[in-house]
Amino acid sequence: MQIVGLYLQKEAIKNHGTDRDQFARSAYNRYYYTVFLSARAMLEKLDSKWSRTPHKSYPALLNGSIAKSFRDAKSRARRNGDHELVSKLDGGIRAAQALAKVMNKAYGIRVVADYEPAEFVDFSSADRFSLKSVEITEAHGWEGAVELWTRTILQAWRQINA
Amino acid sequence: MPDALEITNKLLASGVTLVGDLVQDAGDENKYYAFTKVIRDDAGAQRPSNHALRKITDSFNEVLLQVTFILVEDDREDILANVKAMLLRTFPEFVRNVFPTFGDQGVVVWVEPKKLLQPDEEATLISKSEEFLEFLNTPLVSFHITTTQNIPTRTACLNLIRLHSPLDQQRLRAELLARGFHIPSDDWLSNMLDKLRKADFILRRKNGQYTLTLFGLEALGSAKNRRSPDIVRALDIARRGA
Repeated sequence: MQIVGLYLQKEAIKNHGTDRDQFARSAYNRYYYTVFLSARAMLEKLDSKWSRTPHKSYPALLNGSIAKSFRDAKSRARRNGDHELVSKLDGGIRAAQALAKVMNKAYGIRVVADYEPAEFVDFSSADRFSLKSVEITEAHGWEGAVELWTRTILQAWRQINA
Repeated sequence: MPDALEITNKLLASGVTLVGDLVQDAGDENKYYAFTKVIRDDAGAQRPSNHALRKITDSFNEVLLQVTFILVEDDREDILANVKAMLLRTFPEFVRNVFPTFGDQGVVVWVEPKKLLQPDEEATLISKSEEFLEFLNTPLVSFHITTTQNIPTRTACLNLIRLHSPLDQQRLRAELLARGFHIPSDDWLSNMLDKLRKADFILRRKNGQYTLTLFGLEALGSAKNRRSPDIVRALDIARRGA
């Protein structure tokens, strides 16, 4: 997905015809799916019952059940003096919040890209473009951050569900 | 049920600056995305705050509408890109990648190191980031150093001892490895078990096997769900009996 997204991003930048808008919109779409597939792979590992969770429920799940599990475990770890676990759970909570935020943004911008043709893509910069003030370079960068956050969440989860 | 125009008017009246029109979800007519421009005040805090935005979200929830705010900040990406470039440029010998994000009150920095960092190296990274962000008038709210190696905490070790008790060090090592943990060395695990024993969480039997003390059991607690350790342990005992 990421490779296809980058290809579409480059095409949108070098193509000055009427098709550039479609390449640009499709790039946002592919970058959203990069984020979604990474998050889904992580959720399957956390709990198989979450593998069928609808796309748009992911942020609520991350900020809800998953963050709550971490917070509950953190209180207990603090009582038991397990400072390393407290630190890992802090990371897990922050990572879940950050992932939820990016999922919301990626999903929202995908909806705009796919269903709101009246919202124009801004090509005013020479080497980048944006849609609703979301820069394509930001969308391209989601993959690396999501990989790191999903790993952080998985590591924290394994510590408390060993 | 308010329509998009009424929702927009309510958002504007609440002090929210929208980027373009409100976006209705493709599959749910009661769900909207509000691309919202935010700024930083002199103390680096976001305006409107997440607390204020949550209150607006709650007021819409009361009339069965879901409005999700997607925050857009003009110089936000520049700040994040600058932090990332500074850390990569200043610490090329031990920083592989940096992913800064905006949290509620400032910047959260995630660093992927090239090696296991020493406490003084970690402290240097944090103080340099704080100093740099202070210059940009933005607080550093937290700093996370990630690693691909998941070394078991003492709680993880205790959980496995509870599930498979009684067990010796070699069995514990095998169980930890099977769950994807990284164990630095046999000495490391031996020290961990020693510390747990001295803290009265576990007992060492004469045959070298370990089991949890009552104090250890109470410290771990239990859970009333399908991941309950009591159920997992009962199943493990049944398997061993079979």
